[in-house]
Amino acid sequence: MDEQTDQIAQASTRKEFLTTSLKAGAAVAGVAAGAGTIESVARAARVEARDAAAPVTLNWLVEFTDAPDQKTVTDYIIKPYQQANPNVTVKMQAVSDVNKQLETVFPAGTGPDMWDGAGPSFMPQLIQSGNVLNLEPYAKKYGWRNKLSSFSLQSSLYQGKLYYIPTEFESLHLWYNKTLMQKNGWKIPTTYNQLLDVCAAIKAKGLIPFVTGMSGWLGCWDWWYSYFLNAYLGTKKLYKVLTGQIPWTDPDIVTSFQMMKKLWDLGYIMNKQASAITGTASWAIWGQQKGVFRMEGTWGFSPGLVYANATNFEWGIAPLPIWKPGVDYAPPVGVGEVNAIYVHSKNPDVAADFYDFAFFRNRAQILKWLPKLSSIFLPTLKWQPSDFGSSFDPRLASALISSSKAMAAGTAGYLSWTAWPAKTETYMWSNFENILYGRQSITDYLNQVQKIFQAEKAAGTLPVVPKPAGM
Amino acid sequence: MAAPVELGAPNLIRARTTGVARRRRWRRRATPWFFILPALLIHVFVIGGPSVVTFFLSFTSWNGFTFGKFVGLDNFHQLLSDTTVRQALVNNLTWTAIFLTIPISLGLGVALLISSIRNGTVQMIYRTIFYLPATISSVVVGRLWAWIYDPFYGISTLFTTWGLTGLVQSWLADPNLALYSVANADNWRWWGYLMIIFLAALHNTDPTLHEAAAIDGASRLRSFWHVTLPSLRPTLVFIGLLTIIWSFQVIDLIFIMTQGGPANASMTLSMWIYQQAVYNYSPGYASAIAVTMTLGLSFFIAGFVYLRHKGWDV
Repeated sequence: MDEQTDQIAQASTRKEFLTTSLKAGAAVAGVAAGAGTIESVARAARVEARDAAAPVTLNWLVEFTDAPDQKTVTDYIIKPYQQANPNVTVKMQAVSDVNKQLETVFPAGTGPDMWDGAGPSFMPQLIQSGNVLNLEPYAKKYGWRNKLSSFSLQSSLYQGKLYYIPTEFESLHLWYNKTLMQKNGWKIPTTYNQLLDVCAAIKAKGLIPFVTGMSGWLGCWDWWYSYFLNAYLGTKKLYKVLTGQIPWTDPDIVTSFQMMKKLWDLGYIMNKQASAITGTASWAIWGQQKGVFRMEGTWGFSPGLVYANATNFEWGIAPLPIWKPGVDYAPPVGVGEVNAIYVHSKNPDVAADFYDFAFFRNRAQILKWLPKLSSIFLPTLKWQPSDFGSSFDPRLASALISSSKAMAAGTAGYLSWTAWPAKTETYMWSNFENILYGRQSITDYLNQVQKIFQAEKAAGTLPVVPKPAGM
Repeated sequence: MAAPVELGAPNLIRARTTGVARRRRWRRRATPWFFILPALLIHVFVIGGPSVVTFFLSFTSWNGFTFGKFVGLDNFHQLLSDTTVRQALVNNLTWTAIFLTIPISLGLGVALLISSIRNGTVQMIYRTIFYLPATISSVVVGRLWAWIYDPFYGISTLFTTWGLTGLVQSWLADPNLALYSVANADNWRWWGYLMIIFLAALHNTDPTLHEAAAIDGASRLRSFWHVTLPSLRPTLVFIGLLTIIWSFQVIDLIFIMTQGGPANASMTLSMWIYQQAVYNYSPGYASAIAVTMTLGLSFFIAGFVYLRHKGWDV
């Protein structure tokens, strides 16, 4: 155990000892006043002491199945918490799709105490089912509302109450191979036309302009429409679409899809082979410098560093190009993972305390595991440049700081898994390739989207969309 | 009031004998049921229960978490206008046609060839080699073939190196090829299994029939057509029936290799049911598709049962 963790453990143990002593003291005083016998006083003190140390097991269902990630979470979060609270055991169970698991265990009434699941888009239905504990009392107790950025706080509210903790902040950026860009004299595109030009030049060199892979999970197409809808409509107009003030059949949305299809038709996105490649394989291709760009989020820092370091080339991140001149584009940000507590958990207080320990209580401790878990946990706290030391990857720090500022100022764009309702989102990604391959017209696709969106709006399952500044 | 009947000795003996016989008959009839009871109970709870629940869910708007309201036939109406269901149905029928022909022909053909090998060791080696892919798990087969089809490192790069550019294809990324590419991978591990079943059936064929045909001067082809094939008919019909059922259940390799893409080109009904139930939070609608699929398959099973009932040797 390192020094910092040791201090946390000791502090928590001291705190627990004091609390227990005070409780026992109060019990002693109370009982002594009423009965006045030494025997009953001693019995009461023993009961209090036993209750304080009663063993507690928290079952935590998580979505990350990779062994290194689980080890990091165990070493940096679970073990220190257990050392600070010897009576608590946190049992982590990893499954590839938490929501799928919840669909089975909730109706059976056997939910886990805590779970780490998909973003806010998918929470309204869970909350409506009555299985999610209202965290407002804990938010007040631990001061969570003040610690979260306003964007992520708004994204985590349901009917004005906090039901889940946003634990994975995400933002989309243009990732580029700096070595290849400099070698060929290419400049980072800032507009759609520049993007077309540089992609044409990259393709002419026999390289892949955008490297990506979808065969493992078609849902990753939502990165693309999250991006280009922000880049063409701008934040304010997209907000109106997401809140039902403007229909999905709006001509600007049609145009943005047409522009996306153009990129696809020209073969700029993985040479039209995205459906044959998994996301992991696409990282290997990018690592071998067969392609130049990735349209990637903060979750990619861990694999990005692994592959770039393995082949030793320079890479950077930049804002994604704007698709319509003058539009109020802001980088899309969102909440990728949320942590919640089961309404029937026998130990909600301990679960909330664990969450506070893991994601809020100690920024120094969080910064230790944060670079290792950037594709799993990235708490949406109000980050400052002073939080990050020189050993911290400057690209990750810059993404965190800039997006943190944008979220606080209300100038952040929207990611679909945060701001889209669940069924609309599922329809959009599962049928997105129909448009790319010309198997469905854009008009028909958007008509369907509008129909599903309207139904979800009527059912009250739209997630809260944070309002942009100036609206 | 009727007079009480007095049982004389013969009547008493007859009554006792009848009672014993009845008990014996009952025991004889009940014993198999007791043997089958554990399996029956498991079937009722694991298959029967969920099937009944699925049937009822198909009439609800259940989202997986909150029990939905009764929506009558709405889910079935939605199914009729769902273009992906239509696409998936066409794909399932295509898949069925592929698996009713290619692996069965291949399995039977190779079984005939292997059965003609007299050396037992050599025959066993061939049987093992051809059966081996059937022992590999779906996940491994799926990943293996996805690598073979990989556009950047797979077989296409090999074809390019050899100058066979006409064979360079987007095996999994071309909507016109994706379903056939996955079917090819599935066939690779499947036909060996059929070969073993056909070999077993061939070994059960009465050799005197072939001898008689040979004495009558029948050619090998005529002998195959008039002797071998009729004796294999029950096996062929049974495999055909199972192929139809399994072709509509196919999901594993589709899930691993394409997720139903590109552009739903390799989508199957089971994959769509899974997507609707799990990703689209519509298990009620997914149940309606499953019920419809089961009803459709029931026709084939009913046909099979009818033929057996009519005395057909199938």
